[in-house]
Amino acid sequence: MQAEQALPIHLASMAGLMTHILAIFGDTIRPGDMFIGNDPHVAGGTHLPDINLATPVFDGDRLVGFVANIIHHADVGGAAVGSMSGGLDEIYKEGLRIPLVRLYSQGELVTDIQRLLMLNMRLPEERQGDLNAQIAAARLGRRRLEEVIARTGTDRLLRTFDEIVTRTRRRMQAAIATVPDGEYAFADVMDDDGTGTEDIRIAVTIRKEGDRIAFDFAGSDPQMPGNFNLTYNATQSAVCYALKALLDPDVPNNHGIFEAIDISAPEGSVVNCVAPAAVAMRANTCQRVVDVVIGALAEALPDRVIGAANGANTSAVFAGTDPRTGRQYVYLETLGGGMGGRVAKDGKDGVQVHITNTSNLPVEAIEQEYPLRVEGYELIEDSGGARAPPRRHGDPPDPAAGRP
Amino acid sequence: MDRTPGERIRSDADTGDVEFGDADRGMAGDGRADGNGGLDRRGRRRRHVHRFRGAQRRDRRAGDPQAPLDPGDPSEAILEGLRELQAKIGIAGADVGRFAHGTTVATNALLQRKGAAVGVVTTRGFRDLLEIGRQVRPAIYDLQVDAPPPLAARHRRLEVSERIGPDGAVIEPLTESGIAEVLDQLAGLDGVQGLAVCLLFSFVNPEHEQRLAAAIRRARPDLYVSLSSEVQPEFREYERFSTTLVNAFLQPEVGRYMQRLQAAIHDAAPRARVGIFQSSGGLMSVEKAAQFPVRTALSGPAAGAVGAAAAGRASGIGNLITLDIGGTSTDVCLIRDGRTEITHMREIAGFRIRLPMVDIHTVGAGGGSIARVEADGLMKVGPESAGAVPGPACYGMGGTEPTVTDANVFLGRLPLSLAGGGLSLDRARAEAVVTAIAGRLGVSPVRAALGIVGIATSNMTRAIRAVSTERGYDPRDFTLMPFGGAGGLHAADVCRALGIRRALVPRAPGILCADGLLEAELQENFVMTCRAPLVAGIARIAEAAAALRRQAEAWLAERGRGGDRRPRPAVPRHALCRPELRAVGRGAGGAVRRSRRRGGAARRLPRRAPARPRPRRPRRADRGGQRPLQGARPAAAGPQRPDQPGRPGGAVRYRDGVVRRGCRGRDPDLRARLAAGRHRARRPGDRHPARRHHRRPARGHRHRRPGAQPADGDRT
Repeated sequence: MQAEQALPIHLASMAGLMTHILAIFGDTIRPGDMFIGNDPHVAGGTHLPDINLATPVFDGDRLVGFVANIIHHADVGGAAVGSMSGGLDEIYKEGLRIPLVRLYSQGELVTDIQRLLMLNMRLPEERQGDLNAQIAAARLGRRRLEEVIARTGTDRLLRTFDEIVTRTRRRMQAAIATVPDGEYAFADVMDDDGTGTEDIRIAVTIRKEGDRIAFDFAGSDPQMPGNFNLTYNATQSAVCYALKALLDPDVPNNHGIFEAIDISAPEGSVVNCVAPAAVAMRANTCQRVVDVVIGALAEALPDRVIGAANGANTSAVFAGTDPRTGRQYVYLETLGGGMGGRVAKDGKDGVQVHITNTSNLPVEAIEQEYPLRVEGYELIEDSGGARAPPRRHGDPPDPAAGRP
Repeated sequence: MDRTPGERIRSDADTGDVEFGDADRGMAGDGRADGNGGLDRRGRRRRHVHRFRGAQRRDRRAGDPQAPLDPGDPSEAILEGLRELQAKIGIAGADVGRFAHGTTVATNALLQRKGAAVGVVTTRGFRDLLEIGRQVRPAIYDLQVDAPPPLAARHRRLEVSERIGPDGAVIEPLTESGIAEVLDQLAGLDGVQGLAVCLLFSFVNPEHEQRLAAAIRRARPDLYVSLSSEVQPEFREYERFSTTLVNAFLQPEVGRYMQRLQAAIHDAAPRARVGIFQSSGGLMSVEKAAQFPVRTALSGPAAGAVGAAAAGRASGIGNLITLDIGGTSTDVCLIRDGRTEITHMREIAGFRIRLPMVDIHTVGAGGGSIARVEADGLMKVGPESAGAVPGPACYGMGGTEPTVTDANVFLGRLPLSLAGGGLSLDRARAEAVVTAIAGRLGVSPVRAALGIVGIATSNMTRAIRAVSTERGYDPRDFTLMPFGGAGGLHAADVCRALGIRRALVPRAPGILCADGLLEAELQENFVMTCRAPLVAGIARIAEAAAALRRQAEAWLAERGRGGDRRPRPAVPRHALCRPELRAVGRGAGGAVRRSRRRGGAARRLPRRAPARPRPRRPRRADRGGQRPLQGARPAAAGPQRPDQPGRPGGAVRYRDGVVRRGCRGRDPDLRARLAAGRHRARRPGDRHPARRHHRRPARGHRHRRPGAQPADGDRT
């Protein structure tokens, strides 16, 4: 289950985590363990900066479930500061790959792991602080769940969870049933992958019958050399977000949604990549998948769809040494590119769309924290598409690295 | 105008709802006032305090036809109330010494988006900053919902060549020709009534803003001009600019309203000192209100919270959680050590306002909340409400959906006649709608009704958690104060759900807002941003705090003079300095309250509950690391009443108010102990005296397993 205000890109980011943990650690899981992992190919992650942390919750000897959280760390090592840079063509270059390992074993910190992690990340002080936040959150969540278990008992709790998931699935299915039966197809391209490959095709065929809906991504290009590939669960996040937004925005975020939707994506394709595919910029591709799904359903739901949005998750990373203090800095900024036009009104300028909703940093904070000067922050006129189809603007801020 | 027996007056809410004394409002709904007023009559031997409320909302009582909202002049309702009160009590206008007023004019203007046509002047290159905002969309999964368009359209956002740097240094000077260019562009704008001057880093160096504003005011005396360095001089430009723009938006209308009000009160009560309620919980002068109308936004619920805090103080209880349940929504507020908690950021109608404001959390749960079965087969209660019309089914005004009130009527938790006989409820209709929804759920009607009430309780509980648990406070350390139309009805359930052991019910819940106005002190907030590491930069921090204190003292000294320039007798004043700290590398700060008393009697309220540091932050690995001090905000307050050394005499009223506990079982000794003033807040480890009477714990309360006590510092 996921929090209401969490970013949609993470709808499925932790979906496979439990399966992986149970498969690898099975009977050796103990109270006080904490598992950490980020690798998209072996640990159920989606890209390396997003580090998962999970801790088991017990009722006596009985494993009831896990509390998990995920943080995008500002740097996890690798070739580029910020670990998010175009032009990287294998996962080894993108940063530290963490398989699922114990960070805590029965309440004791596994210092070997911690030292290994911190050595491989830039600005380890900050990374440790963020990691501590994850650990604290996991502990609090575990304590809360234990309180609930004490109040209601494990059996009743698990039955309630099942019931919630079942009802959510039924609710999603009821929403799916409102889509006209039929087969719908759409395809679009990613412009390029940063290493010279261009026009990477994402194609989907949607088959809807009764209360079942199936997404088939056959026809999508094979995974690209550049780092815009998607793991299966990243594709899953994008598809589920699109359906939820189109059909039932208030449906709760839990496994019930996944159970109601079939997704098949060819292994080794851009939407279901395998090692050693690079994935750091996967959020951009997720946005295109959303556009493609909405494009396919335009025929079926003409009043609810919107035009293609900016189709990207643009970010800029500034890094260097602050001449005022001599310390290193890394500053990640995300840029909202604008929403597609709606049936009844224009698209919204300069917002984050679809699978992301991150805020910008205030100009006054940027200039106080970093040796940077922002010269302007404005909407670019006529940077969207033509009016009908509707118009939207992009909005790149224009920070210039100032003199100290 | 109806009259109820005794010393009460009530009148139709269409023209003005006037109550005083301890009238009960009944359960009928939450007709909210457009304004509240309190009078303080200067008697020779004793003080008389009279409270009344003027309202211009439609009447929510059964049987009255729906009257359209009459815009008219909101101040008229207040004066009408004043005249009636004077007629009833027989006081002359000259006897009125103080007039405190809370208004919802600003809030309504924002909600309806009816205000001035405004423009903005900002640093070149940044005119879209107000439109981009934080670049986030308000509803993540909703493709159709956008944040509201900015109050100033793009063509009304002008740029000026100037630039100030992060330390206040001038990077690009503001030249006379630059100013002239702005005035030219301004001349070309049609229909602008108000202007917001918003330059980067003006909170560090306001000089450019001040020069620009002076020039604009000279050239265009017809314009209302707001400066961001005056409205909200704090860093993070979007919030500062947004607050300033809202101020400009409100200024013409609220300014005119304040003028009319002041003139009218001057006629009716020439010696009264007038205070306007701010959303921070204090009062300000009419002039300040006209200059900074944004401070009156959301001031309505704040008055209730301040009144509640005063009621608690008078009963010797400093830690309260207020629960104000109306027909559509529930407001909750945390009060600690007799003071309401303050937040610094709110959104109204999609507009960000950053000012110190009483921290009230609202959820869509109330007496009229509708219970529905959704597509997943689960029942939800609210946020949709049946309102006053058609209202709950049991009102008999055409409502067909089951509401919380219907459930309560069906369960016998509400009598069938309310508001002194003015409202009668139809149990048969309540039963019909509850039975219908029970059928869809496959449970008995009683089960369904209990479910409706239970879900409503759960929604209210969640609201309380948002202001308590989520901020690091344990609700069990607090006393619940229920009020509003339905507060008393749900208090026990909410207490049980949260483990709160005590509820304090004010005898006159309907006029807590007016109470709050009278109890409020004249208050001014000063804020400064000073980024410095906590240890190494302590001298700079102390200097910043001293500068703020000087501002506060200057203001207090100026207020210390009467309107006729005679010095007033010494009054209790205090200045509270609240530094906001954050750890290096973190984004947000947390306020640490540090208080200083100056002159007058110290507050007598003893600490009843362990104080909590707030808010909790995860510990960083290097504890000795530097912590830049983000902002210091002292608030200076001086009571408006010059002839009182301590708490107002009205406190006596609450001392023998009814006190209930949130548990089943009765303790015959409790009442006696309370009457003797020996009550105290629950402490960890207390055995509840009534527990021996229990057969089993209240539902939802499982005792902790032995040995499972939380470790100290572990409780959150």
